[in-house]
Amino acid sequence: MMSHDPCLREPRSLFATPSADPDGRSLSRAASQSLAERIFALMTGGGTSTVGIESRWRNNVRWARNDIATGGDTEQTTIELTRVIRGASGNASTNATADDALRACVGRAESLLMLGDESPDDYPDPLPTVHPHTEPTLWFGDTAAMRDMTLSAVADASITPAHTVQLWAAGYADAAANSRAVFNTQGLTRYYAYTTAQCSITVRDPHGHGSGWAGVDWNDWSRVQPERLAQIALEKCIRSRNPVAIEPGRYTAILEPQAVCDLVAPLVERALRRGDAESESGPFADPRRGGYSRIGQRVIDPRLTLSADPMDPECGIVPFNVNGEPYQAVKWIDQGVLRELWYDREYGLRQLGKDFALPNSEAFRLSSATRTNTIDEMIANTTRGILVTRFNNVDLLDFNSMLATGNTRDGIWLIEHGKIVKPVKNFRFTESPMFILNNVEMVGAPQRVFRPLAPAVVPALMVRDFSFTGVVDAV
Amino acid sequence: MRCDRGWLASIVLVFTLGMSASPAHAMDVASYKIAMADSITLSDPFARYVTPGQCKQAFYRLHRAYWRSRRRDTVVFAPLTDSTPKSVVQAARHCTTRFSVDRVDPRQLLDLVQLYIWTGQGDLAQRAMDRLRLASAKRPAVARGWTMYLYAMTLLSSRPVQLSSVQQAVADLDAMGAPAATWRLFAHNQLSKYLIALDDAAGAENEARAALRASRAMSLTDRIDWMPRIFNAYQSLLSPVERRHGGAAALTILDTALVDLLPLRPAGSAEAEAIRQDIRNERQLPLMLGSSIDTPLHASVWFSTSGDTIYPRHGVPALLIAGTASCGGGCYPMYATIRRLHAKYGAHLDIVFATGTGGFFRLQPTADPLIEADSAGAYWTTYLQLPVTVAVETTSFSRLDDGRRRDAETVNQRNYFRVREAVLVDGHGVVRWLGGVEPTSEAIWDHLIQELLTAQ
Repeated sequence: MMSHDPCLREPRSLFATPSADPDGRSLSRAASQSLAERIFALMTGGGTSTVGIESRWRNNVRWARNDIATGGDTEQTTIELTRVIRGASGNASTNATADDALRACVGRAESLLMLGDESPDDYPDPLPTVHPHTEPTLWFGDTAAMRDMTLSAVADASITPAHTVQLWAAGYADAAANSRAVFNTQGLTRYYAYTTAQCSITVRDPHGHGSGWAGVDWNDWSRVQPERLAQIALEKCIRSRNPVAIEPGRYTAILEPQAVCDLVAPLVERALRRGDAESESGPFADPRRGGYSRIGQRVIDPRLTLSADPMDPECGIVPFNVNGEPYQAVKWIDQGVLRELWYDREYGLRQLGKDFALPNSEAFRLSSATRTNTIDEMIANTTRGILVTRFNNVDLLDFNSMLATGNTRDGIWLIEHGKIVKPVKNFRFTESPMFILNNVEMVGAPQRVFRPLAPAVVPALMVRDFSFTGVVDAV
Repeated sequence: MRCDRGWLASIVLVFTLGMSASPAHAMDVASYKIAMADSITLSDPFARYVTPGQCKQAFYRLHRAYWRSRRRDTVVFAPLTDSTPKSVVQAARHCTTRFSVDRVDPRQLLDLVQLYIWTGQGDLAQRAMDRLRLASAKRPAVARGWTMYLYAMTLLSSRPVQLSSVQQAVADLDAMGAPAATWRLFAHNQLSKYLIALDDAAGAENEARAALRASRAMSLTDRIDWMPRIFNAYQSLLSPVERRHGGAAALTILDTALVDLLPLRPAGSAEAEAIRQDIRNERQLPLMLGSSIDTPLHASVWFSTSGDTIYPRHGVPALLIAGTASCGGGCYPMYATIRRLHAKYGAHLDIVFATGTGGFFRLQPTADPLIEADSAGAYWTTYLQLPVTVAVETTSFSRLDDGRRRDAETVNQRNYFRVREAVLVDGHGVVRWLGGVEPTSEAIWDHLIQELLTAQ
């Protein structure tokens, strides 16, 4: 006997034309609502409840050493449930939608709730004011209808040219149809459908002498352009072969957009909380006035603006968080001056007289209001410097300064007298985004980079005195 | 200035918060219980546990689960007569039956001792403690002292407390001398706080002085490391000295504390300045004791007054409390204490909540401070039905350059509540006590109020 479960369906033929209808790949609004109502019906004991539903269909392919390693599609619905009764709360999650699984999930949440302390002050809080959210275009039918043959062609687009020149290609590509929904028993209803697409390609010399990489993620697969990425990765690998070791030290560094993102992303993810800054913690705490942030002060180069907007056509994001709170268009840093830091609803209420939060989507755009320069122009203007493709293993060393360490990878070259002269061995760096964003010589045009966690649009930067602290033998 | 707005407050409450304010709802303890199946069964909750330590942890959870849907906030603090719920004791005793005092690993003996104490199996606890003493005879004195300290604290946390057993355990700790000086400081200090809660001022003073004697037997390194705990012992000494000898004697204690503690921090350092500041703060209380406050409570809005709005009233002792409506469930123990004091003293004691406005009530911003005042007053008098008068000041505030609100000190905070959140004044406006109002200090307030009324 099949239980009543809208998510169970007949096996899908690989040769059938996939439907662009969201219901075919991820949960529709009606299906999400129906699922939430089933969950609410299982609850006992009153109180309030919130159900978050993330539904995802993902079609992916992974290849290495010029062979496809894995491929296929997955479908998953993740349910996060929070129950609150008289101040005691319990959380549980599940990825199964059958009745018995939902019942078990509700039971787990309510069991955990039993371990919590209730507040006898069961005076209900007023209904939250449900602020509207924006409606960015994040759904692209062709991406949702992605076929397996398309992704294997992506792999082939990098494998064939690599194989031709006796190099190895590896990579990962996927397209996904997603939906995010939040419902609670106080009447909040949020739903959003969106597609995502990503492609990351590495080309390596089999003898371990060179490596090149290119990658990007978008909501619309048509913007990914995997052939272009494959070409870039291949060229970088060829140009990075047989690197030489040079002395570590402070160099003028031209950081490609991906490298800039790798350094700046921790700042966006970790340092933008207003409470931290006003607790004298983090790079945006005012060192001269304890208990104050640096809002209103210049913190980075005045050409640069760090912003986020769900409606950004190149950097849009689902317009609300897991609590249903809408993301707003915000300039965290405007022409170098810190303008905003994120806060929760209680802070907004007590400190600012607002009944809503300013949440951080962690998506960001770093842009310049002035004329931008191409990477070629930056190279031409460099007497002696390093061109960096990207960083990895970036670890934060000190939160107050955002000092971090990590290493370069997948293509790094020495520049002398305006020309790239040779590939060099990878470096370990010890730097801070606060330092580099105050040492900017030139700014490029922003472009989308590879950051599936949350989108980022970032320019290339030419920065002075970038600290490379050691040579790394790894390719 | 408006007076007694109870009826309007109900309407405002409904409008603002969207629920019907039912007097029965606030006081219906039965309705507080969760209407769901209790998933914790007491038949054998310890089936999975193989060590006394695990049984001990499960004991904590069972105890918590027992109280979970009961109104623990209404329970009077009476450790000498309290008992652990029978169902919890029975279940934990069942767990202990699988262990033998003679065969359990020596490293688990302390857990077993604690479990026996909490389940009222004193003889077995004594046997296990004797075996533990024997097993640790060769351990350093510092380690043995720590074990003895934990044993004493276990006795102190059992219900009902066997005070003589606690005192014996602490005496045994004292007998260990200088090597156990740090643990002696802790033990005497904890015992002093416990006796303060029972309003045994003489006993609390003796224990606090014993804690300070122990601190002088500590090595210099330990005194430096544990300086905050030594300061805490001085703080424990203040309360019984104030009760027994008055504010001037308490100021002398603080002078001694300054001389004793300042050398434990580098001269001129920020830490040394912190000690000075802490002691300056502590001096405020004895300075305020016995002083006369001529200014009555200030408010824009009053609720449930006696007819006029001059508080404290001449001839009537008053318990004045700086309250905040956003305290919520955390203040329910205080409210329960207030209800009991009112039940005992009735019209002979005024209880007044003084509060200000903050720009919001619960999670709603309130642009109009009078709306907020009405909400707070209705919350205490109509919803909770507390037998209190409420005085609400409209708080002046400014905005920092980053938009944050900064409240100015209110008149009442300046005159009454700059030292502690509750003040007892006699019928002549003289401050007789300051502190927090909670079940663990209820005995002190009760005795003081009785003394005031007897003296009148």
